This record gives sequence, structure tokens and C-alpha cells, in this order.
Amino acid sequence: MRKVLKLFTVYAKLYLKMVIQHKLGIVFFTLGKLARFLFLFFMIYLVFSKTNLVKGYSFNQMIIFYLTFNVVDTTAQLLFREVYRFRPQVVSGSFDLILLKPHHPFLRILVGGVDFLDLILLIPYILILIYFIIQLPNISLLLIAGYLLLVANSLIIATAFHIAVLALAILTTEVDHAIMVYRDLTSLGRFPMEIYREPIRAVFTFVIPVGIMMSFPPKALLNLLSPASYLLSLFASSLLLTLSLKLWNLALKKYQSWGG
Amino acid sequence: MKKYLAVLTVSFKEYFVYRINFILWRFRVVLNIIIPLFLWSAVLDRNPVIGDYDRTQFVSYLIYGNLIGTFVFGTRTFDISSDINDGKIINTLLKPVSFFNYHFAKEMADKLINLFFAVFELYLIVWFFKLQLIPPNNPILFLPIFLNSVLISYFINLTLSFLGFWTTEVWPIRFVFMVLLSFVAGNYFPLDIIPQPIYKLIMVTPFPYMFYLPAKILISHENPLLPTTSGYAGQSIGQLILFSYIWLFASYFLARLVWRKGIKSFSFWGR
Repeated sequence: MRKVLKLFTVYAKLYLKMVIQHKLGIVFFTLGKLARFLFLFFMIYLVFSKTNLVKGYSFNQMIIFYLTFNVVDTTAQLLFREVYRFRPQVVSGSFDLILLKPHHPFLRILVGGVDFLDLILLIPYILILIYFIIQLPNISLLLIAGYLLLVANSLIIATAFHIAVLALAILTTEVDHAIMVYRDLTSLGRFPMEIYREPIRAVFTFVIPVGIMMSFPPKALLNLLSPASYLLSLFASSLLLTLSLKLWNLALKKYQSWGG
Repeated sequence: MKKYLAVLTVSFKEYFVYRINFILWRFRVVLNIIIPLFLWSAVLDRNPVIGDYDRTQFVSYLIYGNLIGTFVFGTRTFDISSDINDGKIINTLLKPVSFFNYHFAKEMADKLINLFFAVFELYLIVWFFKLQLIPPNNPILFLPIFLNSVLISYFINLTLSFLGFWTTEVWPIRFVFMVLLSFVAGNYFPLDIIPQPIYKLIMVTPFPYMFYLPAKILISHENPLLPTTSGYAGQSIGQLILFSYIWLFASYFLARLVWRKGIKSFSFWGR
């Protein structure tokens, strides 16, 4: 475990050095992400300037949904940035070199590129989220514990999705932006699932569990989640992680090295 | 002309080589309209009028706007910046074709494919969720403004790609542009429902002329050219058309200037 942590740190440091080389990129990506966050925040404000409640949710509650999405999404991006660069490694054959290394390939291709740029935004997101959570009436430690448990659970689901994207990159050369499909799918979770009509709501809650990932944690915080939903959430993450690991193993078996 | 038709045809064929990729791309396009459509529908359930828009007008704005957006925003110009960075642009420059016509043909292929499939996708959304739309209005005024929006978008995208002559980091700049385009152009809501000072500030930028203005013209009941028309949130249509042309010429001259400066400073080793 110590060796794994050491390697993780080494890769993270190397990635940081690489990022620092692109100063213009640091400025513009941070500005762009900040602008996107502020625009959507403004849109929620605009929505609530026209009505008091949206599907039974108040402004503060809607902001908690939005911020929870941002925290989960940004943490996943921070940890799994290297997944965005995996497919070219398969196509060019440099994945062979990673497989030859005496450590699990996930250490390189899944968490081998910790994106510190996302940390710049993650910290303020968390602080604003704490501010809005404190404003909630009837908040308790139990509800916060449930919320944190489900946020951790969402990150397991995010991990499963990223592993599946890695496997897809090996299994088919036809998909070059599966990760962007994942991003677009999860972006539906910026707002409570109740705003979507059936069957979209059911599909994005149970078939592609965006709702479980992004909407269940804030619902737990607002005391709107049944114990069965907690269990469903934990079951979904375990199932998805198991399936994604099986898919990865299958992909590795199918992988044809470029050699050289 | 024949050469550019061939480029257009080849570009079409390129899209269908990776079919799963193509399907996923179209799926992403559909996902992008779902959020604003349902979020505002949820608001309209409680509040039947937002600004000057009732439910049918608001939904029509989003649907027509997205249809316009698929054509206006569809672009292949990002290929140019990577071609500049890795020197491949030399191949295009040496070919007996006009660089700009060659890329415009590729651009049109992207736009036409986008539009063709978006018509079906949006029709499916409208049919499945039983959305009511108003028939498109003011086609004579719409067409030149729509053409302007296509050209403004093309020239700005070209300018951004030409930045590749000076930097390899074009993508971060383009990312900021895309974020601005997503929100300030009016993709998520008609811009005239926001507070007046912010609206007026946005109308000075080129973004609303690529999405908001053509979509708004299509859903306006009254003829915007009549002197009795109330205008667009305090601004006359004449003023907005003027701004649209100012941005068209400004973006054209900027693209031309950046190209001329860039191509003079460009050098690459032989291929």
C-alpha cells in the first residue's frame, strides 16, 4: 500500500510539472470553468426570480443540488483526468509500456494524472456548499453523515464509469469521446431528477444511475430519502463497480498489443 | 466548385466511418437540450408566463434556437489549429485548392449533417413529449440574420484557430469561447428575460447574434419591421440588425488580419 501511495504521489507530482508548463491553459481553463459555474448559478437565480418553488424545491435546496453535482463532478475530474488521455495511448501502442510496468495499470491510466487545477475550484465549491447547508432548517449530524456516505458512494459510481470508459477504449476503436458522453449524462444531475418528465426520469435514475449519483446525496441531506433508497444506492454502486471491473478484465483479455 | 463538392462528400463519408461514435455524438446533442427544456418547463408549470413568453413561445424559442444552433455552431475549424501546430497545414496550402473554400466545404458538411439529424431528433422530442410549437414567423427577416449568424460564428472560429500560429494552447482559449457561447448566446433561455442592464451589456457582444436574435425573430408574432412593434426589450430591431452586420464585418476583418499576420510568421520544417 505504501508503495502504491508513493507511486501515486510521484505520478501526481509529474503531472503537476506538466500542467505548469501550460500557463495559458491554467488561466483559460480555470476562467472557463469558473464562468460556467457562475452562469449556471445565475440561471438558478433567474429561475427563482420567476417562481418561488421548482418541483417543490426552494432556491437554497436547488443550489445544494447544483453544488453537490459540482463537488462530485470536480472530484472525479481531479482524480481521473488521465482517463481523458487513455484512448490515444491504446491507438498509438504506448499502453504496452504501461502494462509492462510492475504496478497495476490503474495507477497510471486511472489515477495517474491528478488534476490540481480542479482543486482551485473544488475548495470554493465545498465552502459555498457548507454555507448553504448551514442555512438549512432542521439539519442534523445524522443527515450530514447520510449525505457524506452517499457522496462517497457517488464517487464509487464515478470510478465505475471511468473504468468502463477505459475498457471501452480497448474494446472498440469506434468510440473516441465516451468520456464526454459520461460528462453530458451526469450533467443532467445538476438539478433534481423531478424536473425531468417520465420516462427520462426513470431511465436516468435506475438504468443510467445519474439520479442515484447526483440527486440522492442532497435528498438525504433534505431528509427526503427512504432507507430503501440508501440500500438501493449502495447496491447500485457495488454492482456498477463489479461490472466495470469485469468489463476491464474482458477488455484486457481482448487487447492486442502493438508490440515493438 | 467540383473540387469543393468532393471535399464536402468526403467529409460526409468520414462521419459515417465510426458509426457508434456518430450515434453517441448525436445522443450528446439530444442531452444538451433536455436540461433547459425541462428546467424551464418546471418553472412554467407554476408560472405560465415568463417575461413576454408563454409556454408555447418559450418552448418554441428553445427548439428553434437549438435547431439554428446545430447549424451555426457546428464547426470543423478546430482541425486548422492542430494542423498549424503539427505542420499539416502545409499539405493543404500546397494543394491546388483555395484554403478557405476547402475548409468552408468541410465546415458546411459538418453543419449540414448536424442540421439533418437535429431536425429528426428535435421532431422526436417534440412528438414524444407532446410539446406545442408556434409556426415559424418572419422568414424574410430571418434568412439574412441567420446567414449573418453562420458567418459570424465561422469567422470567429477561424480567428481562434489561427491563434495556432502563435501558440499550441488554442484549446483552452476555445474552451472559454464555447462556455461563453453556451450561455451568453441565449442557448438556455431568451436573453430578454434577464435584468435590463445585463441584457444590454450582452447585446454589445457578438454572441446573441448567433442564436438569440434569429430564434427570437422566428417566434415573434408581430412583424418586427413595422413601426408599431414594441421592439426587443427596449431595443429596436433596426438597432439589432445593425449590430449583427457590425459583428459580421468585424469578425471577417479580424479573421483576415489574424490570418495574414499568422501566415507571414509561420514556419515549419519540411514534410
